[in-house]
Amino acid sequence: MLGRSALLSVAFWMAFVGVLRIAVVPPESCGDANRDAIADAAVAAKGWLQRNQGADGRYVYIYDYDTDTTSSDYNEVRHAGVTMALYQAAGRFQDAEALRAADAGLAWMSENLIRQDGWAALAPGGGRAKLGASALMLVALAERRLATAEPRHDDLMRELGRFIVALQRGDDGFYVAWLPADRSPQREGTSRFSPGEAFWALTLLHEAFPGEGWDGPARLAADFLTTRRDEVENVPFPPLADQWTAYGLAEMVEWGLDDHHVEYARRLAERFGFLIRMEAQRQGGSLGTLVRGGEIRAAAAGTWVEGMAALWRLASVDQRLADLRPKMKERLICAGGILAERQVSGEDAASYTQPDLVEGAWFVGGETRMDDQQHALSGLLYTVDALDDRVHREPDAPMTVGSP
Amino acid sequence: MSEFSLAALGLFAAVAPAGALPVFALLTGNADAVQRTRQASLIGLTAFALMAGTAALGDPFLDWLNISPENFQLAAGLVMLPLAVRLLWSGESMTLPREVERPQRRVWLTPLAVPLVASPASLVAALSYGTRFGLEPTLGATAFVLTLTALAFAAAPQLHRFLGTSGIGALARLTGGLLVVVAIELLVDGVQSV
Repeated sequence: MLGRSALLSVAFWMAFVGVLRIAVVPPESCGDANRDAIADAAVAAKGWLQRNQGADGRYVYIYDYDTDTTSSDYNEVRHAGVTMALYQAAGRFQDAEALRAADAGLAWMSENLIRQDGWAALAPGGGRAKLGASALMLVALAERRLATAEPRHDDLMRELGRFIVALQRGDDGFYVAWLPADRSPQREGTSRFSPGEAFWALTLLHEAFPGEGWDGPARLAADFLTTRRDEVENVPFPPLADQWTAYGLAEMVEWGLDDHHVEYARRLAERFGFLIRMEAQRQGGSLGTLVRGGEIRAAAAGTWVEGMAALWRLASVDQRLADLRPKMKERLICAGGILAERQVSGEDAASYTQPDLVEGAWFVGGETRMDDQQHALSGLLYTVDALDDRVHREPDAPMTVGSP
Repeated sequence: MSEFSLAALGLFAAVAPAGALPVFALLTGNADAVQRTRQASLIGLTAFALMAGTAALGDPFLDWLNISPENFQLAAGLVMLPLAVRLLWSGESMTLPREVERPQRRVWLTPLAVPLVASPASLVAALSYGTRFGLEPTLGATAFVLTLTALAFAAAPQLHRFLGTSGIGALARLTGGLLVVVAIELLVDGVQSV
């Protein structure tokens, strides 16, 4: 009788474990979670962006391998972001090809500037000048400056900075765009992410030109983002998973962060960690899709990795977040491994109609968009930094660049 | 609150002695005081062995399952909620027939020690607190809570006389409320972790 009861107890415990495993907590899978696979994935993503750039400097926006078509749509904010990521890769890998591609992307942006009252803004066709586009163009230039140590775009950086400051609102947030036809900011509508982009751009501007006063508006933006943005934007489950703000805070850490900045950074790290953990538990099949929704874009997962990597850097300097560092690294390796595993390899790409548009890219529903490669590339580059315990973001040495 | 107190509170809610008391009383109705004390001790010791083992094996067990402690906490919260709802709804940890015709043997093991006291909720709580607070406070809290439970079982008739059926039911429902809080705390902590 005792034997039967004991057997029942063991059976109960095993059933408990089984149900727990299958229904409640599926295992976490981190794909190719090793440094070399992650670094190779970054190189392959960079290759996609370089190969798929037109003569005018624009990149392939969307490619669908099911229909073998590219989209005629375009987005200047994402263009600036892709150019930024290529400059980051150029600096990291000392890669002249990446620099050339990024410079071509920069040339397209330079041809689409509007100028007024001492500022410059990216506004294709002279239309609406989105804050995010100019902010990321400024970040791209700052990355170029870090990669090459060349001052040739310093004046343009300041012009873009003045545009950002011109769009800063009284509550330290930002107007979403400038309307050239009205010669005024667009007062209707907001953007969840462009304030973070503007903030990061301002911090980089201060880093490039200390003593010029760019830290003032940057600090105001930091206070807005860390204390009021989520409320203003009606974010349902704050904090907004905003990697741009994470980048900005990581730049600002050297100047000294206030407690509310650090508290926000902690919550942001928790959010990125949660998102990465959930993604690691994603299982294929209809049950997995039912429980966790469809597979997410690399553009989304890449931003989590970017944000976590930036906060890892911050936590490496600010001891108030030092307790999070081991877990942050763990999540970075996992997310980097997931991205590496989901990227289309050269071998797999060979079976497609246009291998050059497939290799090194991430697809969801047969479609890839240029910012899938952009965010993944930036995230993977900085994951490698974390794996190498490389705290500083700038390249070790400037590249040698030919004459302009 | 100290780690011991937090673990003890969570484990107390998960074990829910007040919710288990009516089941214990029903299944050991004919036992005298000595038999009852012996059975209560055996239940406490068996449940402790299972819960302590689960807590001690926590990290390797989660490694084997490929689950991070943070995600396991989310799961623990989810596993606790059904028991919490049952306690709030019925005031009992387990539904049994109102009358037991023949006294069963080894009831202290099944169903009293397992799955009544060492329930899925208790086991996930032990595992979760083991990985979160470490083994020492978790084992201490487990021993403390199970000692209280065994004492309550041993004194079941006296408690019944003193509190009455409705009093014990009210206590169980309160425990259910506490378990809801503990489950939500685990869920929130699971979400708000890197």
